[in-house]
Amino acid sequence: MKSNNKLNGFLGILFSLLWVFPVFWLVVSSFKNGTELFSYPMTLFPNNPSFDNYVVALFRFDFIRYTANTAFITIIATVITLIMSSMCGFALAKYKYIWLKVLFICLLATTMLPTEVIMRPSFTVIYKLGLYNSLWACIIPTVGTMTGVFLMRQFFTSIPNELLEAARIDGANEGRIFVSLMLPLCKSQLAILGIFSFRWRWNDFIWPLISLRSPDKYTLQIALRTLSGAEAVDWTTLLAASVLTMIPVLIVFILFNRQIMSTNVSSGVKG
Amino acid sequence: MKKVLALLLCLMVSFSVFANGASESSKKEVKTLEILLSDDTLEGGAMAAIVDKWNSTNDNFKVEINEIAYGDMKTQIMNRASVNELPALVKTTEMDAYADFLLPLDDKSLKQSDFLRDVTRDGKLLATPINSTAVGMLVNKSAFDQAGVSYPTTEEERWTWDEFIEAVNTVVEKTDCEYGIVIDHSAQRISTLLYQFGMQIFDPNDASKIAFDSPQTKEGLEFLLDIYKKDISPASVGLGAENAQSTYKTGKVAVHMSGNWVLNDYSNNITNFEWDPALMPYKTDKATCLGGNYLYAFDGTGCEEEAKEFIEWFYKDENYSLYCSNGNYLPSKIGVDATYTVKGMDIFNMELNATSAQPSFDDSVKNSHPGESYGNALRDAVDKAIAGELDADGVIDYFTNSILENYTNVSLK
Amino acid sequence: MNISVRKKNNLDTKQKWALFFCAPNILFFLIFFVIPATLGISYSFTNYNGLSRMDFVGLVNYVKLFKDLEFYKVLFNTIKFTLVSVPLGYFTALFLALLLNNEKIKGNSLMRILIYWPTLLSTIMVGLTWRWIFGENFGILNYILQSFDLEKIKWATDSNAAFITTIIAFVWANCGTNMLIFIGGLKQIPQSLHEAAKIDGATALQDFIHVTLPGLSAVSFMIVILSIITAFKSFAMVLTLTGGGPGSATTYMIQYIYQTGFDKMQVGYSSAASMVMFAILLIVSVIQT
Repeated sequence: MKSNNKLNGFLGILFSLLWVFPVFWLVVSSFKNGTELFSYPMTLFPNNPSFDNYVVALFRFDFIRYTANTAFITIIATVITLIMSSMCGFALAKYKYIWLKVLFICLLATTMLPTEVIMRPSFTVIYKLGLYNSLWACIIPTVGTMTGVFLMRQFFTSIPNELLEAARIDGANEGRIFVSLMLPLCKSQLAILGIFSFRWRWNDFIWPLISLRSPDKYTLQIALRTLSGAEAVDWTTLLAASVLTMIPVLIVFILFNRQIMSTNVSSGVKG
Repeated sequence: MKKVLALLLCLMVSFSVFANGASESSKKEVKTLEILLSDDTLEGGAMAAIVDKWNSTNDNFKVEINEIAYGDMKTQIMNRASVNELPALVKTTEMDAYADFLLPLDDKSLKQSDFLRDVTRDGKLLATPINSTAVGMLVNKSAFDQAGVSYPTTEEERWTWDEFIEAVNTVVEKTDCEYGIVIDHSAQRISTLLYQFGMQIFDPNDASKIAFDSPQTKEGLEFLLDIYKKDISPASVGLGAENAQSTYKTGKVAVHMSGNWVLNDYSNNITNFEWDPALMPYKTDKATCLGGNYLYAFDGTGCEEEAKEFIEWFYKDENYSLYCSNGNYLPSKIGVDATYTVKGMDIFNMELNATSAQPSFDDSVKNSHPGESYGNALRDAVDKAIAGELDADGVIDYFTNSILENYTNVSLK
Repeated sequence: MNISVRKKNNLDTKQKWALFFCAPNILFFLIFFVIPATLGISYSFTNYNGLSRMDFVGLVNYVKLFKDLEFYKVLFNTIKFTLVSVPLGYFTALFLALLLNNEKIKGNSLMRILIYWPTLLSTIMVGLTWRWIFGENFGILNYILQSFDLEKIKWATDSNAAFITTIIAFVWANCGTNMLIFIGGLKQIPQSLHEAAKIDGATALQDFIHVTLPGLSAVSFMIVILSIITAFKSFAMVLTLTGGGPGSATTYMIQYIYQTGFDKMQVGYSSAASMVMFAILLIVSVIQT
């Protein structure tokens, strides 16, 4: 048993280091200056590491405003997504009506036309709804994400129906069952979805591109894109800015990761 | 932990609501013009400096910059055009796509004859060329010096393309350079080389005839493809997988075929070897392709008079010269001089003065097909050829077919 | 009230609740999918160029599409990409999830973070990072190979090598997400089942095949379908990684649609291509469910 764990641990370390190497290289490169970045033969670690690029990045953009805008969009969208996805996923999993099966296929279909392709019609819809140039335009169209619904649905299918039946016999209505019984059980799934949603919205650039046109509403991703010009890319600033924008999402992941570790559903079934 | 999260949540939401509220409540009493642009900060903030100058010396209206990514310009403009919320002013690389929305500038003191590039459509001055860029060459001076090879900086010294190949082969042999030349992944650079072999896209005697299919074009294409086959230039850069500018900065390449826009970057970021602009080779013609941005105003924004006033003020010699100096741009208005902080701009001026008229002619034909575009067809065809999918004749067919498919009223010569 | 009437009332109430739970998503579906998609379909029957020209042309775009060799090549590339990346991604994520599910290993939380980290990069940065790594002449991998006196690999100019780079970058970027979902799924399998298998004398492998895999069937289904759709939609990352090259060896559907629509200003034609892609994906998903 112990040797199994040791092998397990060793492989884990090997793979995680392998996986993170490109990101590590990215972060390390952000401390290099413009000449060293392109020198050949290559260096892994910077010869004169400095925070210069970070200083430039911070003063280049209105970082505080953009972060506030992005945070606003991300947090609110995540909360709404969690609510919508768990409700819809629960219904799709636990009720047997034909229209639900049809709805499932319909929702799945929404993932098959990527936003790039329906960008102009989506823009028209946003405008007609009066949402143009508002941060809400980056929130509302994104909260119906199918991946969220799918995730919650497959989780709820694994919950035994006996639990629901027992509650119904006790006289609870469906809403009560959902809020008091189902939600507490799916904490780790909600944590996972929360991590995903946070990441999607934080890194989203399509909706902000379509729906925002004033600089005071721009998000971090829009600002980052301005570093890639028609002929030139400001590599040093781009690397530093990318690392900076990665940090909040990483923090959220670390915090929520603990939620995933602890829950075990079987505790609900026994007895 | 939950409490920490809840606190964090409240903080962020209230902060962002505050941030949003603050921006809405600051009402502007003075009219503010929006100028939509890209790449200004990347190129040294020249427009920002000019806008600051206007704002500090004028009170009747203010100007504000809205800077977005180059790749997003078209999407933004097209979306805003469809809902009639266009910005007052724009600086960007295209004007003909938006021809229907441009504000004619004829009632101000600016005239087409003031400018180096053609901005007149249907007899009306619809835009102004805010700068000119020219394709040219940069050499690795340290390598050339080490190999004892000289490079041309005067018209008499100009290489032929065959002499060029000899020169860079010598440099590669005698130094630790690995490649003779890298060429940007761009139809404009490829075209420049082909023009130097006598290529024509459209017939100078009849703009509706496509003259691309010719022995000169074929010779140029075969020469270009040969450079990749013989590994004088790395195919990965030719295909755009590796970036020419980044590759040149490693110091392992003798020559970079690019344009004057790299001068800022190279001045700031190349410290491990010496570099210098040099005159481009020729086969039958000397040629360079002009590029550059346009500055224009949109109609229907409610700020038309103010926009025209700003544009007129912008092109006053003292202001325009300041703009070109700050951004290290080649002036597009005749008779304006700029003082540059980077060396080598004079080489590009020489190229501009020496070029044949064919590149500009082809450009003007392109401009006369608003709303129609063959995209990057030439570059795509050359990509396929470098990858081995096409030969020179195949490239010619691919490109001419693309033009025929996308343009109306054109035919083969 | 007799039982049959009460049952009928229960049914109605339950259905109303189900509708209530789904209502926001249904609304979302109608406003942000049906309407734009319908507009998109209508474009495919015109010669819309994105700005001013939009004339009805009937089925001309579709006829042109079926004769377009480039379209078939791109479709083939995309299918090839999907067929390789989906199983590879599935097994890699499953393997990593099994590896890191064991709470007894010290630091497995940190390891999960390291594997998930790549997913936090925007797709454009993923493409740029791997492009640097796979640089044929000035990239890290070839540099390492050359320092061991090995031949450098033509990552950019050889079609197969370029294809492999897109696969590697894609699997690398998406593994963390799938791994997390698998871990969530693994934790849902009651420990009692594993213990029962152990008591019955099952080996680790048998436990995996008879307890774990069946327990993951719902999760697997979801990951496979979503992976297929994500692979089909790969665009920003591949564009920054290979630009679709060499030639058009790694040009996939969305890049083709985007370039026809925007670069060549043939929005009508690219809408037709989108509809065909949509139909293919829909058929594949319906078959799977």
